[in-house]
Amino acid sequence: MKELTIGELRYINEAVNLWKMLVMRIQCSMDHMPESLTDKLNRLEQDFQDQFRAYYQKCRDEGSQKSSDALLDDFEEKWEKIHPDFYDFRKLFAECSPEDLKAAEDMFPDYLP
Amino acid sequence: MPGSSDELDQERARLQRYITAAQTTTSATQTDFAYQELNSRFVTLQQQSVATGLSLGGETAEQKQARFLEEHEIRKKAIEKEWHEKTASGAGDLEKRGVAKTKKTDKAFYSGFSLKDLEVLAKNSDRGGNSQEYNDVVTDLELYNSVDQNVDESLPIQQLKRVEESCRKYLESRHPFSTKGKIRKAIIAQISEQAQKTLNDFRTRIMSRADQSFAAFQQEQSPEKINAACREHFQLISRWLQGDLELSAEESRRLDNQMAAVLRVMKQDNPPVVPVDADQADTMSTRFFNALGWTDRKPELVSEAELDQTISQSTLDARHKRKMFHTIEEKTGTPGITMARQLLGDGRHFLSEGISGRGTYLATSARQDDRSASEHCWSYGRTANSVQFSLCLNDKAKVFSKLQLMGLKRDLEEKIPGIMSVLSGSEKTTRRLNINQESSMFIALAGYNTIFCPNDGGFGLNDYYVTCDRSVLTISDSISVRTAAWEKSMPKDPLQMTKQTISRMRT
Repeated sequence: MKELTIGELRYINEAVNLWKMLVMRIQCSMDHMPESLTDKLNRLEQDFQDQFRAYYQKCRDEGSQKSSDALLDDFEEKWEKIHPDFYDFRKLFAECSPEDLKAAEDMFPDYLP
Repeated sequence: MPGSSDELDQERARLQRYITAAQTTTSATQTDFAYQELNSRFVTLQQQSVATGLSLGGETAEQKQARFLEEHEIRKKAIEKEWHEKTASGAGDLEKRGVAKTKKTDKAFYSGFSLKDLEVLAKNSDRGGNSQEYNDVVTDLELYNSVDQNVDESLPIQQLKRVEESCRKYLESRHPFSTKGKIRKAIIAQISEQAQKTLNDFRTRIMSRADQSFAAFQQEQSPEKINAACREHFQLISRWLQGDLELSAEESRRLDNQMAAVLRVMKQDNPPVVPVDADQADTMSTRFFNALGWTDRKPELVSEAELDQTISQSTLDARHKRKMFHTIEEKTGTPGITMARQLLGDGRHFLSEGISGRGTYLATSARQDDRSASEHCWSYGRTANSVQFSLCLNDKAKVFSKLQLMGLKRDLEEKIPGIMSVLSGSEKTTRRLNINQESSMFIALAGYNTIFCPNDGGFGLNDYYVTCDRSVLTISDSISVRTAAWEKSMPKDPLQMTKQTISRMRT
């Protein structure tokens, strides 16, 4: 198994940061986040990180010389098909009240597809 | 006081210029002034002549002095008579014409003097007061002369542009009625001309280097040639975008196309044409800033007391003069202390991912709690051995507001469309969200190195910053390290941290 560099490991660790940050801010904008949704988000976050790391390691073991960004792009194409909710906040937060969802949408119009 | 015969020749030549000027001018003021100088210099030379036996072309200094004074008196009376006749006619425009003539004559009168002579004249003239605009030129010129021009052209070009600007303000703002004012105007005109010439020389030099580097890149697309071409073109384009250098439309288009070609190759994977260090993330931003040499720069490490001093003495805008925090979270395979050392200069700069561009993110609050974890250091540092720095921006920081980013991007797309077509989309917009991670490269082209996100980009949370040049950071050597004991008790117990003072972490 090829040893990943510190730079690559940091990249992998950071890959989920944007997602994590946005979700947390949306949580902050809401009065109440259903527990089931919180659990779901935590699971998705962990799955993403674990599976991206595995995918990255596999590509490097196979001799890929693509940049980290290119590997993330490839991974996300597959991930999006499996977890479309991960990318669509409106679907993700469908369990929330309409008011809370509106608050989230108002706060992050640029980040919603 | 002239000593050798060479110096005496120079003095004679100087006197001849005064004499010629005095004989050709029709301005009583100038004639008077020129003869004052002649008088004082003749006395000196007379003494010299007595001491060395030299004489001034047939006449002794005393004889020449007497002759010129006599001629001067005659001329002076003639000019005064002419002036009275003209003004007695009562026509206002005659007076204006007289002034215009004087102005024209002033320029002709002083154009025969070298800059050094003019400075002596200004210093010796007691007709005229202080001028803030003139002092500004002198100050800017001194600053320019103090810059080491062998290191990098960015700073001297910037200073020279300031000299040019302060010259322009002087020449536009005053009509110098005093003798000193007129002499100063002549001085400023010469300085301005010299500044323009030097700026053109810089431009020619940088253009030539950019063309040569592009030719070398076309011959061989090695990492060294790619980086060199990127660096030379960046310098020129960035100076042009900041208004320091003039480029014709054809020149800017050519440079844009050339740099776009270089960047296109830099982006290539399989194999990566420009490799990055093992402790860096392999992204376009990293390759770009590696090429510019920015990632080799190191921050400043100081004591906690010196950090407070740096903040209080900073020349930055008041809003940016504050203590900030950066937290590094340790995870599997990425030791907190290793990453911390890297920030301080043990290795090239690591540019983190983020919604405001790639770089090092700086929070304006150190505290973290569970409810608003995203408000403070973005909830980083939840694991044991995570490291938190106290720091500030130093005077090298050039801060750009995130709220103006869209406007900047539009402006760049108009001016450097080739480069922007390569850079836009070069950083993956993670998870298909509309987040622009290329913004660090955009602001760098425009002459900045730090993005300011006020109130978290408008989301009502804390301000934060992201910098792509860690040399703008002044960091305290007293850092906070999260203990294992805390980790066991999280998240219920309050935050526990121990302070460790690390001196010379880089060594």
